[in-house]
Amino acid sequence: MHAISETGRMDTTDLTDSEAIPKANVSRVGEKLILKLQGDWTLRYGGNRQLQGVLSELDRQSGAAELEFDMADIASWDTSLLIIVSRVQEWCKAHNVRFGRSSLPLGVKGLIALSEEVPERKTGRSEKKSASLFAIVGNATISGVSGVNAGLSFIGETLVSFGRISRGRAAFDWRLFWLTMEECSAQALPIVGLISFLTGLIFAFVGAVQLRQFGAGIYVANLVAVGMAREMGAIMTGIIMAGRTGAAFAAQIGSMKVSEEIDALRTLAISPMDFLVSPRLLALSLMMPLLVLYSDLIGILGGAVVALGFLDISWIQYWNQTTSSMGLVDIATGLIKSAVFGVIVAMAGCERGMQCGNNAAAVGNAATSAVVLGITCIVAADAVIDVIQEVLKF
Amino acid sequence: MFTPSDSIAEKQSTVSRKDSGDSAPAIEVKNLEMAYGSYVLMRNMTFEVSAGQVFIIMGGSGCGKSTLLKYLIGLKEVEQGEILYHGRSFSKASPEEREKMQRTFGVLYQGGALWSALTLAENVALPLEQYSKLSAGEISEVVSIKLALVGLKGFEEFYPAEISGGMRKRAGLARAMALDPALLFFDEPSAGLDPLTSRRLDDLILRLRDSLGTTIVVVTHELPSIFTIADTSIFLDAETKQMIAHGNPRELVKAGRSDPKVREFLLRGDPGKTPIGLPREK
Repeated sequence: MHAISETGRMDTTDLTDSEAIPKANVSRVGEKLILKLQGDWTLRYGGNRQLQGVLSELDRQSGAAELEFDMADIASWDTSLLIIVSRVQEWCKAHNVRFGRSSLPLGVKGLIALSEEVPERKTGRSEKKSASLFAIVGNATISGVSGVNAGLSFIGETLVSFGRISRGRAAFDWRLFWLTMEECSAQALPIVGLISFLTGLIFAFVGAVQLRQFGAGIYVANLVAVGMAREMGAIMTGIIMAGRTGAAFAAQIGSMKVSEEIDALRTLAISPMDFLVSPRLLALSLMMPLLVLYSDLIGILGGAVVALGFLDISWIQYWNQTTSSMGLVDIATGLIKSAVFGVIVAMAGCERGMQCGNNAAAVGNAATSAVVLGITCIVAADAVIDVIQEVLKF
Repeated sequence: MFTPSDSIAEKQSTVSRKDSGDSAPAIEVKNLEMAYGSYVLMRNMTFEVSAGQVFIIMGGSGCGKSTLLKYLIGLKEVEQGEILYHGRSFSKASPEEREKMQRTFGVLYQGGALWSALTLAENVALPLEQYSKLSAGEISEVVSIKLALVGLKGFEEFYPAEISGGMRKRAGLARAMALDPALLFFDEPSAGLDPLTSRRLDDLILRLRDSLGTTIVVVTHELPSIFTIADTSIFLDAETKQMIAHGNPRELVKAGRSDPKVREFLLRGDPGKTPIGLPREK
């Protein structure tokens, strides 16, 4: 046996503790190669950084028939030692050199046997396939169409469910209904109140700046009253409820799906639509108009604060102007919108929850998706209702 | 971390010498009281576990097995008593020291507790990325080796939701072993697994212990596992709030060697029966 020259030594300049420095040294006795490892071959010392050097050195040794390890002077090791062992084993196989497994310590042999016990499964997952533009567009179209299909079938199932409920043939969960009513009403008042007050305030400020120039500051009352009653009360409440309640519906139903609670309902022949979706949908649709009325009032109050504080308008003047400018049609428009928005928020939340995947991340995605879908549909529905109203001159 | 040797016993003794600087037990629990607020679960627990042993915490449902595990891994603060690892106090250590000690732990939770948004490879790689200075290529190699050790080579790119319960547990074990911990903790490893998968997991635990010399703590009430893998064990009794047995379950099951409750537990309430997991006496 003879030690190879200094060029055979590996780079260990980044290590300071001389006892722990992992060293690899290739020597040769006749046709037998001996790979001597010394020092700490652990994750901490990163001995495998010398792997390339070892493999290059082995490549230089032509005509060898056998390779053995000498680990007598190794200070400590962990599973990272298997990296160099397995790569050297692969090198031996490629170069037709017998790999002397018996020279390895018992623990290393045990780990190698364990890692080889179950052969690698060809799952095809690691192969990265690049999709063509046509495939990307095609997949996106298929996904969009199936999403619309799922949405439409959900609407259909909801209608069927309400049909069953109206005939008294559904397992309607009244406890959930009352609980959702409470969550969508009393518990939502503070946040709806705050946002509506600030919306009325902002509306009045914007109006005041413009109208004051023409001496028409009093019309701030008209702007706030009609704006809140027809549009902003319903839209702001809808957006708040989409973020608050729609997301909660998606997360609640989604986590029930993850924990197989929905499967448990199905196996008892209880429709999840009747038991989980309809009570939520009904409760939110009934509560939304009340929340919007409350929002309108608080918004008008916000406008009054600006009018009283900055425009020298008395409370009586503001109130008279408000009541004269706002008709029942305006209030009814807001209420119709609110009921539609309530249905949209509940449907988006429940549909996303029912379509949720089977893991924690999917629940989060379902909640996010419910909010995005809810808000988008609210704005779109608002525009559609406005156009219909204009066409019908209502 | 350990030194190479053909003798496991030698290896084990070297481990404790290396880690502690003396021959202190791998785990030492002194007068530990377990409680939730004012409700005391277990009093005056004292036991030791030697390095390289498989230690079983057993007892009936609700006796505090998993709670003891939480104390051992630092998820619950010790109010009374002390926990030491290799002679160094864990419960009285500074937060920084504690964190360092916790990096020598690997924990396999009951359901695997894999991060669902990450692939199996990413799950195993995360501790390595956080606590080692390995390059991305080296981490990838280590991850492949860990997954191969638990028989999941080829499943690197799978998400936890796409694999079976048994595979999730094995992947959880690969993650627990990511940093080559000196101590591995298992919470109900066999729960929910079929007998064959459960047996394979037991075999894996033993082979990892034999190859790596890791000290292993297992919370379980699965009798076949207890008799197969235990070197030593303790039995927690909810009624007396005491640890009423300490020793090898094969010894504890023999008549007159332990509290009758322990025997009753190990024999599934039937004193005439051969314990499940033990060969039938001829």
